[in-house]
Amino acid sequence: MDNNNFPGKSQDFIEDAPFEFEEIQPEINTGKKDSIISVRNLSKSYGSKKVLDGVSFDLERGHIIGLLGPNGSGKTSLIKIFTGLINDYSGDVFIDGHRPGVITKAKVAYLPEKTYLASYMTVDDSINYIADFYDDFDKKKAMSMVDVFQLPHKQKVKTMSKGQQEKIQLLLVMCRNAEIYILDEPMGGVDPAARDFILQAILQNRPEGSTILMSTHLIHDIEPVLDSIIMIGHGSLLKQDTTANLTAKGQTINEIFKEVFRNDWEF
Amino acid sequence: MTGNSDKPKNKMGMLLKNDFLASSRVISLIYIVEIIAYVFFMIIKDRGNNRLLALGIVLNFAIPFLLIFVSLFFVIYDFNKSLYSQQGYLTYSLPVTAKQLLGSKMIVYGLWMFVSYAVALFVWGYLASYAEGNENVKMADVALTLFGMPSIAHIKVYLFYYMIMFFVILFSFISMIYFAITASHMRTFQNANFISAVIIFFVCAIIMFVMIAIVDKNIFISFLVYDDGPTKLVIGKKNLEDGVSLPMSPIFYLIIQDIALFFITSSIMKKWINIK
Repeated sequence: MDNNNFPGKSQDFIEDAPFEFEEIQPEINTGKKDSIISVRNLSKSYGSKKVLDGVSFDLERGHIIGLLGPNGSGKTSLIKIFTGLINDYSGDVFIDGHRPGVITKAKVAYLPEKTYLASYMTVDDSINYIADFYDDFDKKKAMSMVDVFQLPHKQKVKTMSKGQQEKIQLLLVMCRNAEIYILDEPMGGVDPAARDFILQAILQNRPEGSTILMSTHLIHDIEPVLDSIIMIGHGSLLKQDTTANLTAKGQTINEIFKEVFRNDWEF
Repeated sequence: MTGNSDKPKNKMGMLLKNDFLASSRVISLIYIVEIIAYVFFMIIKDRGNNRLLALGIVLNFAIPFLLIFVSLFFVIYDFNKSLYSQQGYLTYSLPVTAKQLLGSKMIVYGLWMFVSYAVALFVWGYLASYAEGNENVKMADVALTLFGMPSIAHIKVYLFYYMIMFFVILFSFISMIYFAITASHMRTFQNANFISAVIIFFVCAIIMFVMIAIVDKNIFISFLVYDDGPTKLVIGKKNLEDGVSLPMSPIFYLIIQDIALFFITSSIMKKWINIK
């Protein structure tokens, strides 16, 4: 079913109002009761290339979930669909019972892999900007974390090092008291010490009961903190389970990943 | 499950505030330059120094052009940058609708363009009145009336009409540019988005001018301004002896076109945009 043809008054209906939100969100079947994200028969193509082909799954509320897959497997596309950046897909996606849109954007704290802050913004500007749009943003905490992260308040983002830019973006995301954190390669392109710092910052600042969906290639670094994993590749869901179940036979997640995707790199 | 408890606050005000702050950083600089040039002219105009006077006139003639072009450039640059560069990851993930994103930019940048245009007209009008002098204007009025030409009062009404018409066209150009930029970021055009944007814009501009010509020839709505004061909007064409008849159908067409482009552009932003 196309996401725009779902019966009933959906997020689309809400967004059709010029500058207002409609009040109505009727009861709809949005997947398993405990799931924070439900995906049903999701497909997404780029031209003739299908990156997601009828994928269905549920992600459990309150878990730290690793979204794993090789390059080009559709991880970022999936994340962009969850965060409302891609809308031309077929199938159904529900975030906490809502289709991706204004309501879900207010619930999801999203860290893209790109530097997204405007070049003219200083650290303080970016904090004020995020505070303006997200009611769950803790500005006091953000200001104190600037000092903990040793970031200069008045320095423009464009003049910062890659590591500093990563820190400010991480700070902006983790100072929200969001229900869901979607982190796209949060540790990509930084040194091992910085990776450890980023992971600790995520774990320490995560509100209790919140869900974290994290895509990464650095499985070894995050394996100890994951509650469950989801592996996608070749347009399909290849594996989904808790880390406890997957590692019960003594294999690490890293080893399972290599096993699942071994054929992709064979001569 | 209901959405009422989940309903986020309307953030249109925050969008307007942040779009205004972002644009004022650049545009306000050129306003400061204009104020300095205007104050400079006011100081030197009665001092009898012809070189400084000439400099003052040239500056006050040129800077308003700059004001309009800088505003226009920024209106295009910032739209593209904030929505379709990496900054789009932030902009599109804000808890606002596509209509709010576009509406905020149209309101803020439309206001900037209007203020820039109004300031330019004010400064040029002041320069013109300074150069002409009141006696010359009176003599010209007598001469025009003798030769059966429109009086100065009628010319002023026409000027006012064309100033409004020019601004409406300017605003329509901004709507078309936003539409062209947005459409060029659909996946179909994304690999050659600059060329696509240029082509889409020119196609829109040609359609606009053809439609204006058709509307102007076939649909008659006139705004009548009588010499003794009253005004009237009428359906049909009317030539006035004791006033001016202004064709309104092109302006109404452009307003309808802008509204249509707003909904089409926001619909594309909502459904078919891919942020790279």
